[in-house]
Amino acid sequence: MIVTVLSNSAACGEFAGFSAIEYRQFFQQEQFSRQRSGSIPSLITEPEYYHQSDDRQHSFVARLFFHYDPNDDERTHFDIRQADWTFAENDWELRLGISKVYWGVAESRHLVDTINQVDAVEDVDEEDRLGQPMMQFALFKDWGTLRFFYLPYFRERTFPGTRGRLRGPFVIDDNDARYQKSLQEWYPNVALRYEHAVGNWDLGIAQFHGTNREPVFIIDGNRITPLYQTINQTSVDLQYTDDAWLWKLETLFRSSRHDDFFAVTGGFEYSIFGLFDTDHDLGLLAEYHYDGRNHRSPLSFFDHDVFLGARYVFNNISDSELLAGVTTDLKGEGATAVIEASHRINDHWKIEFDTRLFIHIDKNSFFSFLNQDKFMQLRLSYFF
Amino acid sequence: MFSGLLRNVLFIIIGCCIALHVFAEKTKQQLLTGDSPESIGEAIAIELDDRDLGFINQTSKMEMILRNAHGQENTRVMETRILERPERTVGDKSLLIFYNPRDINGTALLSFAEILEPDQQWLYLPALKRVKRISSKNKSGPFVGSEFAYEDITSNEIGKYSWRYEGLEPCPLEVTLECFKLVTIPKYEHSGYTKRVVWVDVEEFRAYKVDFYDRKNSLLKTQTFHGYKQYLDKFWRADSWKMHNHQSGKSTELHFKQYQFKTNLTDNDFSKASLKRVR
Repeated sequence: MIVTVLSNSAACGEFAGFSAIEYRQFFQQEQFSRQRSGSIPSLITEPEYYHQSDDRQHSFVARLFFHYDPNDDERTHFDIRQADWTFAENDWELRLGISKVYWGVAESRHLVDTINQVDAVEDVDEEDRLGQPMMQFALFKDWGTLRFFYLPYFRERTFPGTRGRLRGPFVIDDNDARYQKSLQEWYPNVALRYEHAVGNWDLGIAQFHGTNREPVFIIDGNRITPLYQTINQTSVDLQYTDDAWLWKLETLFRSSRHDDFFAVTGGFEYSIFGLFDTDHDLGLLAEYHYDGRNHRSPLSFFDHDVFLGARYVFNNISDSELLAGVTTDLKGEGATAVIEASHRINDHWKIEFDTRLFIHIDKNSFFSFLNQDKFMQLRLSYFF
Repeated sequence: MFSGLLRNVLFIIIGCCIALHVFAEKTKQQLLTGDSPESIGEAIAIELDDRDLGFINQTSKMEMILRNAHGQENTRVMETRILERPERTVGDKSLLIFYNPRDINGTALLSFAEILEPDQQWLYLPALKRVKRISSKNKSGPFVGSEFAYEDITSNEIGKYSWRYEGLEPCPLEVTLECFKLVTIPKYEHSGYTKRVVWVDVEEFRAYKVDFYDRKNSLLKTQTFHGYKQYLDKFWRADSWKMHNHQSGKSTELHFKQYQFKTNLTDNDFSKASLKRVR
């Protein structure tokens, strides 16, 4: 009997996900006492279970994440990336559980992508995010989509541990995070977002009230404690698609008890398809960043910067792709560079090569420690 | 990782459609009474379109087998969903969901086909939960590394071409049947072809073969259609499509399974917002 039940449910559901081995090689020695080299393999797994009812009204997704890094206890971590149930009617939808949401259009900075906390120990590109508990209600109408978010619990950002690389001289003590609100991580956050696609335009407008995903660092002797402020934020993201041009804009106005400021990311992606009579495509990217926050807000890397990059797509069976770009501070406070290459080996295996370079970061900057943490990494993944 | 690849979608539809009421089917004799090869060609195209009118929506599973000149194979598995837009001024909406290779499992491509305007396309990347509007200019590029170009898959709306009738011939692959031979010239921008030559049978208006001529007007590829079956007593669909590239020696086969029509899919299942729950 039990066997029957199990086999029935297995027939409706679907398992997916990946496991990977990742090797990081830092270009230079570690710079602080008790830090380790970090040039060591680590293991990642992200299994997923997916089930949808026959009428497509109910769906359930569970996606777990585990990273084992023998170098750093803090980078070794487990997360429920997703565990949610969705009920879909024709023109509305309700989603309950731990979930992931993406907002925005730009490539080199994810300025307006607010809902999910950054899983900062994974990478420096802020694309890895922690699962966020939420209730999401969405309404689909002719005039656009309206989404309401209720976020009952806040996730703290992850930070490297004592032995980990990509940290400053003092370790961030995340066992003692502080909050502006006395309810701390239980202070409820809310957001409302309107999305619409008309002709060549794709628009998103969002209002967020709650705990800032970015912390301020309180330095007390050689202890650093994160402090999470409460913010109100209005954001707009907009894309105009014209033939081979994608014009992109993300902007926000954020206010807290200590600071009110604007920030903007804007630029384009232009593609040349079938380069030199081959099947290859070349994409050229340029994005400008401005961030007007003061010193009482969380630190930002992107106060006045320009990103220039190129994406080369081979359009082959292996989906081989290469992306390279440089973000330069226009006030001369340094630059960061990124190279990302990926290639599918076969139906299940994929290989990726990434490089992150930090070039002449200003010695007076909080981020100057990065000068000695340039690294490259190779990731071999098995998708099941 | 993927945006360069998937510029366009699937799908089939040799027809899009004219009006909401049923037309009387026209016969070969009636169609051939036109006064020029162009007007006959146009009439045949409209008839072909009308005969496929009314499927409302369509789903199928699709297996794609890519074969290089040495015979090495790669397989992709996807699901296709199409929403009919019966007006002839717009094309259909389509959704393509990938299952294999496993690293792109759950990736989805939504397309709103237009006639002479650029199509609208969004790509859903499940790892980031990101929906990305992409450029649809890349008509002649390879579709997911295959011998099908994006335009072979998405640009089958009859209004995208001018049509010219070139005579009657035995159908390729089915010589007992008689076929119209038609030359179609793309009217939309950025096509990789100067023309396509299409053989369509005179009884049921099924395509049997298409020859594609490149920008230098030399024969580039040949597509053939195999295993036609009729669904709901009306709609003819081939079990497989084969595309052979004469210049590279590579080929791609598409095998369709589990065709379903008139399901409960609606316009809301083909929206940008619905991509986030497509699977």
